[in-house]
Amino acid sequence: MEQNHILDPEAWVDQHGDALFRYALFRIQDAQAAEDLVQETFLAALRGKDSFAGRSSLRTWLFGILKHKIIDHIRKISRERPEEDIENVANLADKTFDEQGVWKSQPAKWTTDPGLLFQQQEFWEMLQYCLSELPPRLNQVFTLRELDELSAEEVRKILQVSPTNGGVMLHRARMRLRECLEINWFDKKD
Amino acid sequence: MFSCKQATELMSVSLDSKLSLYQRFSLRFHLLMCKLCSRCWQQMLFVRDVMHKCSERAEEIDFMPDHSLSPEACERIKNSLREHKNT
Repeated sequence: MEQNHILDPEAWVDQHGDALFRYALFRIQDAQAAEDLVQETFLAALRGKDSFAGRSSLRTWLFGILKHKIIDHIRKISRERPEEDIENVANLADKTFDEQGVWKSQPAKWTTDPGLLFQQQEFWEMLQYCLSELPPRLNQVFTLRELDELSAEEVRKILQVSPTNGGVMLHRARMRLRECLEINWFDKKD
Repeated sequence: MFSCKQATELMSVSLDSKLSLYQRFSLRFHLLMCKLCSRCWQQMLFVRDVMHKCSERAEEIDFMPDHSLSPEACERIKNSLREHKNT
């Protein structure tokens, strides 16, 4: 069944097009660009289909190609629109700490079973919501670092940010995401 | 001793690079003394694990379930595949 599909690239679009498009949209929040990336992914897969060894599923292979395309896309738009916009993120942590750097909104205790949590579609939807609430540049810094698992240095190069700003942005993103999940998930589930 | 805000900054740095011996010691000491920072640190690690899991399971998770490729986009992509298949 899978083998037949390898031979029929047009069936790939029906089988995997939506899943690839949704992931691309989740990452870059631009429907037109996401469509283009899906098209490029399928074309690259068609060109490389002889090298597809069948060790992974077809979908895994396609996602692997798409993930690289997404990183290239983010690199390209960062080159075209280099911006540090650190000001946009500078005040984000003000609600968390007072002037002395003491906790203002204290982290609550989370009780969770990761095994169960990861099975819940609602949890992944909440994670997507919290990521979408991050300012776009923070979202990119954080997802390149933690989803694509690139090194902090690679991320800074792709987005053209200084080491200091890159560090500040990662800190802000981690704190905001922690807080968002706490407010919208862990507080409500306890 | 540094503030809780500085402690969280150091926690974040430690997830991206190796801390100096002094930084490591200071952070560990702060975490021993401060229940809230210690909790925040565990949660920061948890969020990182969640992100890695999300990446690992990208093909199974229903991202943006309300969106799909438009019929026009599907057709356009199929056409381009057809063209390239024949070249």
